[in-house]
Amino acid sequence: MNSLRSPWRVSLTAGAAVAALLMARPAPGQVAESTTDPYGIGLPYPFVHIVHADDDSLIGGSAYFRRYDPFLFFVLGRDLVRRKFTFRQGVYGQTGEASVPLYVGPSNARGAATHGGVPRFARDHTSSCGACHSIPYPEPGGGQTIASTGSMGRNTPHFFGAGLVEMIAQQTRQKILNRYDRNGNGAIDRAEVAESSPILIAPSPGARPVDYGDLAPDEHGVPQMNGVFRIWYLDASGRVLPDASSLDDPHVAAFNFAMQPFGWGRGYLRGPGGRRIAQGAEASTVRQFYVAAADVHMGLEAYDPSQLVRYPEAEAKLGSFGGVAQVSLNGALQFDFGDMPDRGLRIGPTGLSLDDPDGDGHINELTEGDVDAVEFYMLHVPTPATRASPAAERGRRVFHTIECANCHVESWRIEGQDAAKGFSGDRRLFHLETTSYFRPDGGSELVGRLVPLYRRGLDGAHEPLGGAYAAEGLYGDFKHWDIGEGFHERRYDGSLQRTHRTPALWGVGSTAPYGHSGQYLTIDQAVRAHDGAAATERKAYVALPQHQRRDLLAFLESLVLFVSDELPTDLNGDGTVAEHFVVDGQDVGYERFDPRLLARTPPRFRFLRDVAHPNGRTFRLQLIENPREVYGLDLPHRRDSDGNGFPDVVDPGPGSLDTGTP
Amino acid sequence: MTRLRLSATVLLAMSIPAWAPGMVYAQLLERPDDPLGLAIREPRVRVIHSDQPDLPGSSMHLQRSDPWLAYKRGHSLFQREWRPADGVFALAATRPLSAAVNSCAMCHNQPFRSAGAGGNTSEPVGHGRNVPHLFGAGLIETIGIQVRQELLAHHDRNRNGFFDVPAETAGRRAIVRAAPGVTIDFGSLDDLDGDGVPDLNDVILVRFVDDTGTPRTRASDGRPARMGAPGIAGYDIAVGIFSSSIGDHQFPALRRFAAGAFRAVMGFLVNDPTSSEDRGRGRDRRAHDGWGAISNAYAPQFIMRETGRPPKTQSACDSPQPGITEGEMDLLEWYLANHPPPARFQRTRETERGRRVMVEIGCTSCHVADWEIKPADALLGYSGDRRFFDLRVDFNPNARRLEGKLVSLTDPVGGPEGLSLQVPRRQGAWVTGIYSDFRHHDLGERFYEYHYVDGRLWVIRRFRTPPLWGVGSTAPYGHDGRSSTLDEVIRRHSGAAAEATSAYLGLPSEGRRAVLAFLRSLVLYQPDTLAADIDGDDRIADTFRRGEQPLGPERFNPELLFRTAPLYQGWTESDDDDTFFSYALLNLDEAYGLGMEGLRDDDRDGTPDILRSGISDVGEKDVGERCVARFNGIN
Repeated sequence: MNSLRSPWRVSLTAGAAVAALLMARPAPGQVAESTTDPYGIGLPYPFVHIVHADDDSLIGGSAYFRRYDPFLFFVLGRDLVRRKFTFRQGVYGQTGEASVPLYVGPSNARGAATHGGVPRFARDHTSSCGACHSIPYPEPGGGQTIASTGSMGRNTPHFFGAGLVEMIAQQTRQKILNRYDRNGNGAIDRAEVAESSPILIAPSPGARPVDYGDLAPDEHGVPQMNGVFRIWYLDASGRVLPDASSLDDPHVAAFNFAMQPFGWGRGYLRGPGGRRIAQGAEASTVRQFYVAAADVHMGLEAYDPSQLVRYPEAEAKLGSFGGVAQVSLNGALQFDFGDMPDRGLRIGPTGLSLDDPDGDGHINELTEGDVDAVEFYMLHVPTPATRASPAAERGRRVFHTIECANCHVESWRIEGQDAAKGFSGDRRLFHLETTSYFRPDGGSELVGRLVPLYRRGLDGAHEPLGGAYAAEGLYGDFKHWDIGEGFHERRYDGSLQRTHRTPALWGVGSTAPYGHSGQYLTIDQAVRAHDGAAATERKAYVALPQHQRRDLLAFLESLVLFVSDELPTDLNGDGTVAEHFVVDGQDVGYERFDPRLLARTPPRFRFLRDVAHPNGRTFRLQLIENPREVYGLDLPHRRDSDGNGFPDVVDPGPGSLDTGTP
Repeated sequence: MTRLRLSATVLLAMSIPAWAPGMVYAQLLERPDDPLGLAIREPRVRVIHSDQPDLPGSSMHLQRSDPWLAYKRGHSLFQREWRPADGVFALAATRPLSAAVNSCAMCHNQPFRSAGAGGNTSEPVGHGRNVPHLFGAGLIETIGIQVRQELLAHHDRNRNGFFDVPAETAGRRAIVRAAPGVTIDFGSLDDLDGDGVPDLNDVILVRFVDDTGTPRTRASDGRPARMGAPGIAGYDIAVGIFSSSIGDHQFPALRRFAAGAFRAVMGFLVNDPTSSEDRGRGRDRRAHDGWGAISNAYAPQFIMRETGRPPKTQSACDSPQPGITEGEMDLLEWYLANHPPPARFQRTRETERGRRVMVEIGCTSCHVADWEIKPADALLGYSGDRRFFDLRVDFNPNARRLEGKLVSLTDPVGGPEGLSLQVPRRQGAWVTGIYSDFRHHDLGERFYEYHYVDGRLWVIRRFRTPPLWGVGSTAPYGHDGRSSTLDEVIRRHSGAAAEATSAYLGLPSEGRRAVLAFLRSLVLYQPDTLAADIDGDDRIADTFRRGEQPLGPERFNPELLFRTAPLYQGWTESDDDDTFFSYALLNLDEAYGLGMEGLRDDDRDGTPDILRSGISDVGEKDVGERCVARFNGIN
């Protein structure tokens, strides 16, 4: 054990060398590669694209991992979200020259292309998702505020529990179709909504239904659905009519829609004759969200056929609004709004896209398999936790009494698998349940329990159970609301966005600042800023006796995020968290949610030292000795002999990846 | 590297016809027409450094004649989302991780548009370090300067600028006075443990010098320098006050801190002779002392790399410069050195009780509440309060909001050609409620940080006492951000803080709650929207005016205080059925001085035309020489 000393004090000791080394490479972003991180956060393996495969017999392809090594698959996806990308991997782009519109407002790519909109982002904010989703480190938490459609800013939301949110959105859409798509053609025909067709969705059995508006058109021919839905129109043959914006359009026979629970909302566009056209939000699925964010913030364009309609070639161009795309590897229906820039217009000999839409000389910067892994990870990101306390419990009752829960809907039920109704059931393979305990010193500690949601096949395959699941303590209805001036956004073009999505409050205790713009530094300020549709609730809040207001805030602050890797967790279902958890005959320290411990080939560690964790437990510092085996780097569909990041099976060889772009 | 260079060139070539003004991106978008008036207004121009207010638009000219414009331009440099054409990521080819983000504000982010706090950096590997806020950073820098000068004033009896060993160190302790009756012991100037270095607190950087005061890493016998070694006359010090531990941002000056971030995080070439060039002392300038210039913001610059090397000059004055210029560093430093400190939110009976309890249970023995800044003193090297304004921010219970009151800290002085200059008074000042002693302490194992390097496990045991101002807005906590709440991070203390921690644990729950309530009342805020009395009339006007021009509610927006008042579009009807006061700026060129000789950039390549058109056109030979010497050296 050595103590670090200041380099300027003893300039030539080894300690100085270490300190100098630490100083030599500071860089935010998120996690760097390191085989010598004793905490196990550094990524101990090089970047290798994951090969997409629906066939799970292709060892090392995405379906294989999902089925046979799901906890490693989770880690691989997580690491893509944590990883700091480099120029070599195609991060950033030649933004000024990119021929494609970037995440624009008017809110879709077509809008920018046709209206000459100003791109919002320049593809070079950062080299890692983790630079913004940064609190708590290194989790997909909340974080940075950036300028977006206006200078007030857009605050980064966390995506704990994102998989459940995606499932709720898919299920809600399905329920609407089940009720109103009477002919079962997968769209809403004009005749099907000739009369008032209210959308009332019960979030959980017995709960008051959420009112998402009405499918029937308003006087301008626009379905009166809440802004969280993105609508597009079809002709009688089911073809998408990208320029149509109303059922009044004589070519239009039907419309279709996606629910977009990700993003704060994009407000409305004004159409001809005072028509208001809801612009949805940023994404319908975690897949779409990831691909869009990787492009606009990091300049990494994914080629993800799962999100493309299989067009006739002529229509495969950017801006071709395709509508309903494919069901992804992890079972989520994808949509194509024509704004994913890499569309595989030119395909190389091994199936890689040669499009290089940001013109930086790097093709296919993320593969469909990479996106499969990220989707799998985001599907399974743990839900936020609750740090129980008597005050918080009292505050929860106040929350209900003053009717905050009208919009901040407490719980949602994922219906069990039902092919007839089109319900997938809970698509996850596991859930991390958390409970908070008081420690003897008065502090509290979160403890996890891994709940498997799969059955094991004889060959070691993992099959999702597809059961029902109650997502409790979510506190959101995903609707877009106008809650007054305190939440309006004056955009660069002078327009005013009045509506924004109700944020789910889980995790809110760890995600200051508040509001879509992050302009409220405390929860109290954010609550007091409510007005408009939430005026009554705000008045009730302000009128509360001080102790009740304090309890309410204690409740909201008890809804927290946490560092999952180090969460003391009962992994093996024996009802306890072992101080000395044994994996493969080896004591790996206390039992915690380090998914690598559950990988098909678990890590072999070199013990360094037992040290104190901030939570008071004993944490084991150790180095992984078998990263190639754990991370499957030698599996047939993963081996990358020349180290260029493309596995040999999709690497067409030297020179073949040259796009001709500098 | 080649590819990058190429793309930058291509961008330069293509950008002029293809991109109209206002279509440049930034962390804050560069949009003079932003109706909220919060975006960056002005295009980037590589500001020319000057240390006299001669050349209009050069750094010192702006700092003296239009200090709010200089401040706002510094703010833009901090918030700007840099583009390849600006030189961002230029170092990425050799340092791949240096292309991490494109703006200071990507990390120093909360609250948005301030020099706020953020999440964690990923370095050092492991848990990384939590990004601190920079509110009041200039005051912290001043404290660091003062600690050094006070120690020299007491112990450097022969006034040779360093501590002679053993004459000025034997048996001496490095004790400074933070405030009357409050002393802080930075350790021993002597080497009591015999390891060859003085036993000073880790926050103090030590550099051995020979008898001319020139830094020496080796003694004359070739062995590492140490106290008493041949050829080593003593040592110089600097206070690495911005660091959370050794090995982390151990910089005594904001300027070097910013230059380091530009290089390491954004991959910029930074050309800053002020902080990197040891010009030497004496008539022949042969004796190098390891110090650069004293900056325009009065901060002495401690040179971090090995000194004594001549500055590198690489290219002629008329070539486009890819990096950050010395003049831009001047303005960025000006912004950070003057960034207002955090505020107190509502004072309640509970918060005031918490404040008292903190004193009673001993928290304030390290989290020292107040520091006194001594007036400038040329002899003793005190810088005084270097700021040009103070913003006093307090909670107004009637309006239930924070409100500011601006106090000028400058005197007007006549300048060249009838110019009125604002010169900081550099008086004494109180820094209240900062809550730090700036020492590094061992707070027990739960704070230790481990690194595995060169086959061995290393531990960092001591961490700097973080100033607590702003702590209510900067979760998570600890140098590593591993404590999610204030209660958790307090419970994490032991070691040197064991007594205070057990006192905290022994408090009745109301007592603990009071402490937490107090800490949570130490908050950050968004300066540019803060309601504030900025003209000293003791009221906050609903409509602030310069002349006849309505400029919206009175608030702490530097633009309102420019020499040339902004002209806003005013009441406007939007397409969304509402009428609003638009802060779209109609007189960008005048308000932001785009026509000034040193800023003028007609071809919009980001480099002032004066540097392109050749030295002779400047008319002032010395300005041209400064340009050659200072604009082009890359280090």
